[in-house]
Amino acid sequence: MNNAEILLTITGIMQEVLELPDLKVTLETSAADVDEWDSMTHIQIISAIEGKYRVRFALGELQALKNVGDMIGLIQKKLTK
Amino acid sequence: MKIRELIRKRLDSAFNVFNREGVQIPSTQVRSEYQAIRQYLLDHHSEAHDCIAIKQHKDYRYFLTMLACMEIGIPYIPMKYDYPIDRVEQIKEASDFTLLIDDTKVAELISYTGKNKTQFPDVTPDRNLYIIFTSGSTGRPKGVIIQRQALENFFTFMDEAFPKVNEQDKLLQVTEFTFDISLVDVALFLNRNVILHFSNFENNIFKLGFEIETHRISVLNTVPNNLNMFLSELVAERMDYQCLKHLYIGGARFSYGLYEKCQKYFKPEVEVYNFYGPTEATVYCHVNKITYDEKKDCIEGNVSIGKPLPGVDAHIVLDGQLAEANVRGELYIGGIQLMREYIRNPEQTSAALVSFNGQTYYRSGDLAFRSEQNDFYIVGRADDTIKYRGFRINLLDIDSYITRIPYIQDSVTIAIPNEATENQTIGFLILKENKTVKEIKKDLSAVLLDYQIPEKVIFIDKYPVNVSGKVCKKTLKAQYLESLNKA
Repeated sequence: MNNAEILLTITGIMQEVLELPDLKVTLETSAADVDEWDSMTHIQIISAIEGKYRVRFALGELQALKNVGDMIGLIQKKLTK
Repeated sequence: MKIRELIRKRLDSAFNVFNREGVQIPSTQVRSEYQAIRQYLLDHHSEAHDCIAIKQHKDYRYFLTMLACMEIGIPYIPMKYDYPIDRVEQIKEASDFTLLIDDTKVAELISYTGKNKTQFPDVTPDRNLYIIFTSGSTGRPKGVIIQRQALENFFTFMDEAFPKVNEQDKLLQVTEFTFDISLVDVALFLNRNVILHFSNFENNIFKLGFEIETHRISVLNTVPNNLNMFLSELVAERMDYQCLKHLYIGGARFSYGLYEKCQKYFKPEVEVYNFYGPTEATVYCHVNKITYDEKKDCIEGNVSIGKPLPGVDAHIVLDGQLAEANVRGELYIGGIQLMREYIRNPEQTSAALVSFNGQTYYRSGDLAFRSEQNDFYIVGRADDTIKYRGFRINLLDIDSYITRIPYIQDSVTIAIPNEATENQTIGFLILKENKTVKEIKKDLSAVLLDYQIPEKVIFIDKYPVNVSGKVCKKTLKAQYLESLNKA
């Protein structure tokens, strides 16, 4: 699976969780760019991603995520394991 | 102990401070930076009219700047580093602060080598200590002025109430200094000499959990929402809470749901305290230690906020009279921790500070009751109390009963004034499973008195929320009225 495909999936998840159907997501998008992306919705986004890719992230991995690009990198790492 | 002596005593002895990057700052460096900031302020900004605004990233230098102001006796105004210019200007207009210390300025001050003055100004107990700006209802920030004697009373309580906390304990400092509950952290450092770790969690709850685990944090002072989130299943299952020993929770309502989570996740030896207090009454004015015994901790799903702190005078007032035990009314707070006033705002000050039985009290706006044992319970906001068919009902109270029905996820009841029944009550419900209005009203009659059951029940998917994420009843009401007009 390539990064563009994962980005598309994450975009869909974020649009649904944040209830922003027109949200544009790039590798650089971070919580600071989207008002609706707060602590609570962040937990929901992570949960949805884990469910979608059947992966599980550790606390140490989650705490280091700065933006969507980091998230894609982490998913790729899990999928190639 | 007086704040000035307390600060000197702590900084003259051994202590441990870690910055927001997790790096320990040698105490010699902390001391020398502190002395430089303090000397600069003493030399240039220690006149009676001086007032310092602090606008830095939350880290140890912010903390040192606050302490220097406290020690010298210069009132300070805490701001977040990213406050927009408009807000800073509004605060400047309201307070005439004479110096703003941001990240750049403090980096300069730590190298200050001048020494014009050695004499500290005399400070009286009624001298202003800090001014915290809260968002006023008119959109203009209101500046709450707190005097030295008020914070000294709170610090004395913190010293005496938690003797088990000591220099082995590690405290994660998470709360912004613009929020007065952060002064609990300051008190525990000054009084109990805890090891201070400045957090950098930036609202990422996983990062907060990671910091707690990595630093083996034993003391945490935070709002119920943060505790609620990291006790949510998704976070809890990846976290090890074993290091946490003392939890100071306050700044918002400690819900029954959170109480149940504490019972589920914490061993009884973990000390959890439910604090209560408006900014106008200096940090906190009530506290209750959770016993994990529901009969002692809760009445009808309300978690006790405990008894007033020493020096605090609290009463439940109903229709201008003292209410009896177990009767709901507005919580009035008086005593030494009361604010002086809202800065340059006599109108709002006289609305908030009222004379009752010959004393001055702050009208908290919170609906509360006290038990026979004088433990206090917050039920909701007094504004949410309405008259309906001659009965006094509280809308939040009704919602808390409605949400005890298992298939109802959430409930928000609003009131629309009308002539026939004084108000029409409308319950907006989010359901977990499909039900008819008839079925719901039947189940509501099992938990509510007939006049408490909302006249009209409307199903909804989600509630409109305001910027802070709270349900906006005003919008809900407006949307409802608009839908009536369209119909």
